[in-house]
Amino acid sequence: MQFVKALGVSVHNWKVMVKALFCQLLIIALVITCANLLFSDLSQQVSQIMESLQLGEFFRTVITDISEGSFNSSEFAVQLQDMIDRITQSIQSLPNFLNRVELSYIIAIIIVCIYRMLVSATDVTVAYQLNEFMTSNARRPFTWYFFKKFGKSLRFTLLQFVISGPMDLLIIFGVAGFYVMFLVAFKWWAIIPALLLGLVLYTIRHVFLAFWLPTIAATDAVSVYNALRDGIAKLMYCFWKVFWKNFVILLTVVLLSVGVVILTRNLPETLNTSMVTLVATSIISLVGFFTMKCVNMAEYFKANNRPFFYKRFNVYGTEIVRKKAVK
Amino acid sequence: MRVQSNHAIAYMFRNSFPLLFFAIVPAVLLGLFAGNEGALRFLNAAAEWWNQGGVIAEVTVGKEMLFDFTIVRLANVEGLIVLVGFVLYVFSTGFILATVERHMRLGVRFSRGAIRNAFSVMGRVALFILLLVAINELSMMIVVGLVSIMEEIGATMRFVIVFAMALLVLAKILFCSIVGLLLCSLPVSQCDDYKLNVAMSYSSRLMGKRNNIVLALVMLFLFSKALTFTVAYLLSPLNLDFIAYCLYYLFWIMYLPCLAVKVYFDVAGEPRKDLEKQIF
Repeated sequence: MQFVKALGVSVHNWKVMVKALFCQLLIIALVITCANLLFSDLSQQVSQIMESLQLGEFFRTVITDISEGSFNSSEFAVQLQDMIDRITQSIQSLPNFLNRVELSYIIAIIIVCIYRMLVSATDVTVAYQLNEFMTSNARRPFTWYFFKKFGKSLRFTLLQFVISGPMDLLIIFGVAGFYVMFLVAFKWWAIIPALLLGLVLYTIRHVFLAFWLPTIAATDAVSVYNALRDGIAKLMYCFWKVFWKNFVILLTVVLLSVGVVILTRNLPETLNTSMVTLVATSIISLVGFFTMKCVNMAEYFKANNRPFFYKRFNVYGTEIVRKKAVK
Repeated sequence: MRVQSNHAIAYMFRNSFPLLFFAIVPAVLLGLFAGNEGALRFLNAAAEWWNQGGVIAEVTVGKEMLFDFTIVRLANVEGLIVLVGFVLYVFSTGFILATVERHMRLGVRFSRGAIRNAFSVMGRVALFILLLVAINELSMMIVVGLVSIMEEIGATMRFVIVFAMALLVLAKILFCSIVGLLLCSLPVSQCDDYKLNVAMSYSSRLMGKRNNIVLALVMLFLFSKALTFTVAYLLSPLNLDFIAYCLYYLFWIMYLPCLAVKVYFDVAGEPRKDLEKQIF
């Protein structure tokens, strides 16, 4: 029941989600222009590199192979090796001032960092809006919150990057190790348990930070770091409840993304297939993450024994009173 | 003998001599050196690409726009002169505001008090104009970024050109609405001695209820842009297109402070002393 109500919160706040999406699009546009100004061709080169990496092609082949049952682990290992080689070459081909390879790696790391931080640039704003809606059924302007809480957003994105970056790396290496271990023992089908394990670990990573944003929004005065501490302390009492809900949403996102990757095989020539896939999967994942935020918010309210609004209520007569007050 | 019209534009033309005195130098500087011809050049180029079927190798619309619309258009030798132009623009706006306010309140066209008043609000005027310039530049950068994204996705050139034009007009409309909402903030800040941020908040509350003024400002802005580009296009074979840009800047430098003070007087319900004198 609680889960359904939380989904209700996300449905009734679809405008917030659209605004967040739009805001992120504007931020990305601004960053692309700044990158063009500073490095003349950087953004174009990054997009060319993304194209030459053929990430979409790689995933599409793997997914089709698994679904058809023709997955070959030794071939996959070769493909993976090729992929890593391509990534290394692409990073080395990044332009820099001094023609040094190290500098290219540093630029690549900075690009990844900026991307990671931009993805969560509107998180704090969304959390405040949701909190406002759930406590008092009120809606205040998105832009106002965005600028008012901009400093907090920056601190949050920075700290989140510092905390979740190493965890993501651990998950990637852990899953790769698991895959290699199983490859020796059970041969080809080990890819599916490895993917499932990756998903579970990724969900745990998300759930670990699930109450951070709700704590920031609900206890406005507390600093971002203290909110993280308080959130984790509160989470320990209801970890698995939060876990399975997040897992269901993440699984849905992954399945939908796989569907998009398979469906975008035969696009018209004029469209850039990898970019279309990237945009479609980003939108799906952003919607999924928004739903996750709503679910986490509802769980936070439950954990604190607080009631919440899950629906918009319109009271008849408020317009008349407001008009009279203006007069 | 007849009563004077209370419109801002009528006020501007009636008192054009003192206003021209303040506005002419920044208008000429900005008209000559602020990279105005970029937009016209882009329009020309876009028309050419369109005629050639919209498939030009080695041309990306986003990159072209970067040099015509964003801050890059000032990044040459004239950059410093533009800076001087903007500084003079700040001074002229401050002087015009103070003069017009004094004239409307007391009926005195020239006074030393106006100059003193102008210097007391100059910091706020500078901050306000800096803010508006920053909003304009940011909006242009966002437009260029969105066009670049559209190109990366793989849209055809004709679509990108149409998209860019639509976005440019939309960005200008949004920018002009922001100017309309913040129109009263300088007079409010000057007359009621509010801080600039409080004055801006108050002004947006006041103007939010007067959508017709904001809409009129937007329409006038778009119309003046279109007229300027047309005249500049017609004059460009003679290399005289700068006259159109100078006139454009001259009009807006003189008109905006007059409109701001006039709207403030209307909103505050204060009587205008300058209207008491009857004219032929």
